[in-house]
Amino acid sequence: MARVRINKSLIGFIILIGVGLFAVRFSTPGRNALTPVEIWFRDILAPLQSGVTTVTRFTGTVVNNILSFKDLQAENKALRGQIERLTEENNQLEEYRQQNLRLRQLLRLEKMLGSQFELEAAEVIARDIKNWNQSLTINKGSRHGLKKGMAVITHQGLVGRISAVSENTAEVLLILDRQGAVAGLLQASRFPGVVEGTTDDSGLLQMIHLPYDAPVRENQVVVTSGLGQVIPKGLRIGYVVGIKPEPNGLMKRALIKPFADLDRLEEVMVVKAVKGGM
Amino acid sequence: MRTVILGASLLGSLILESTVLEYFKVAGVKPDLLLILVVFNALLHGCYHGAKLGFVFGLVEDVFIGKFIGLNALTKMLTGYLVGMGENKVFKENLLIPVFGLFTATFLNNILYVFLAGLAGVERNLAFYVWDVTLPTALYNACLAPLFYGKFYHSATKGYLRLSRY
Repeated sequence: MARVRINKSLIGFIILIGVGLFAVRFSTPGRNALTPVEIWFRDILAPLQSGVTTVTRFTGTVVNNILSFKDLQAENKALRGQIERLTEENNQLEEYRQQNLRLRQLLRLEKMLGSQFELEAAEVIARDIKNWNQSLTINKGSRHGLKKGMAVITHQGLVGRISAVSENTAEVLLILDRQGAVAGLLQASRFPGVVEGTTDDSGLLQMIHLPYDAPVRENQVVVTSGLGQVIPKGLRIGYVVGIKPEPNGLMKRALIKPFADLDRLEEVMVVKAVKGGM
Repeated sequence: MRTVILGASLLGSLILESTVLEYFKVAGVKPDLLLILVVFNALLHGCYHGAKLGFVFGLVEDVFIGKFIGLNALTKMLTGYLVGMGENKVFKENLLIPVFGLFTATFLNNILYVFLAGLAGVERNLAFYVWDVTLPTALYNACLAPLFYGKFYHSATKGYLRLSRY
């Protein structure tokens, strides 16, 4: 009886294997379509798979974020330090670039005026600490041959004149100062006048004591006249931006915008002498 | 209840294998959760139940995969049967039994898979399949045995997974 049962089991087993192999043979990837059972089974499981995948991805992201938090903190710190260093470096480079531009302009000025004047380059090291004076200090003094009264210019135009000299520094009285008046003339008409600072804070100059019929028009260029033997002749001062009659009705004055940017001076040239005399 | 739990385990394993376990690959392989269940069941309940569960689980897996239907059913059935033959010959409470059992069973199952696939006309790269798939999977499955065997053993002897007497 036992033998019969074993044989039956064996036969069933072999049949099962045969049927299985047959099924395998006819369910290769090349068949045209899935059976309804497979389709149904896949559709049943799909939402569950989708849900589990979503949760898994979310969990993975959270876990990754937590694990990488310390690294990110360290990286953040390092990057901040790097940004600070690079910003500082960038700032320094920008300073050098700006300085380079200014020095090029001064060099060009020296080339342009070098045949007429003996020039000395200087750096502005200080501004006037009081509000009522318009002056600045440069890093060259008597040791470099600077003397009181010498004209100070930039590539843009006249800045002022030296009002005091120490061994290594010189004080420059700007043309904006009422005490820094210079003799000027209208370049086109050669009409002379005195150029001085205004009393307000407009940053403008004024050419005073002009007769009411003086040929002054806006945009005319004003240059130094060389009178008084202090400032050399022909240095550009500014251009006329307005004309105002004096209260007495006989005279008028011209408002002049200086060419030189007197608020942002960093390097200047001192005219030490005029080659061949004034 | 046993059927419900095994059914849920079957579906859960299929879903896990197709989703979460993708993130837990070691040496390029995932564990074969269905095979682990079949082997545990065979170890604790013998040839007949091992083969039966192996056939059902394998068949459902084949339907799920949609290719070579019957291949996993046959291999898991044979594996379940062969593992079940050791039911009365080993000390089942020893944790090394499921570890070595799973390693051997996985190896055997995969070799059978290649053999039967060959009989069915499916070509396989034997060296790759043995060294790069079978061996790592066998090791992975064996490493998971201590994590689940205790609970399965408890449930299969005293809990919901024990066989009814009738």
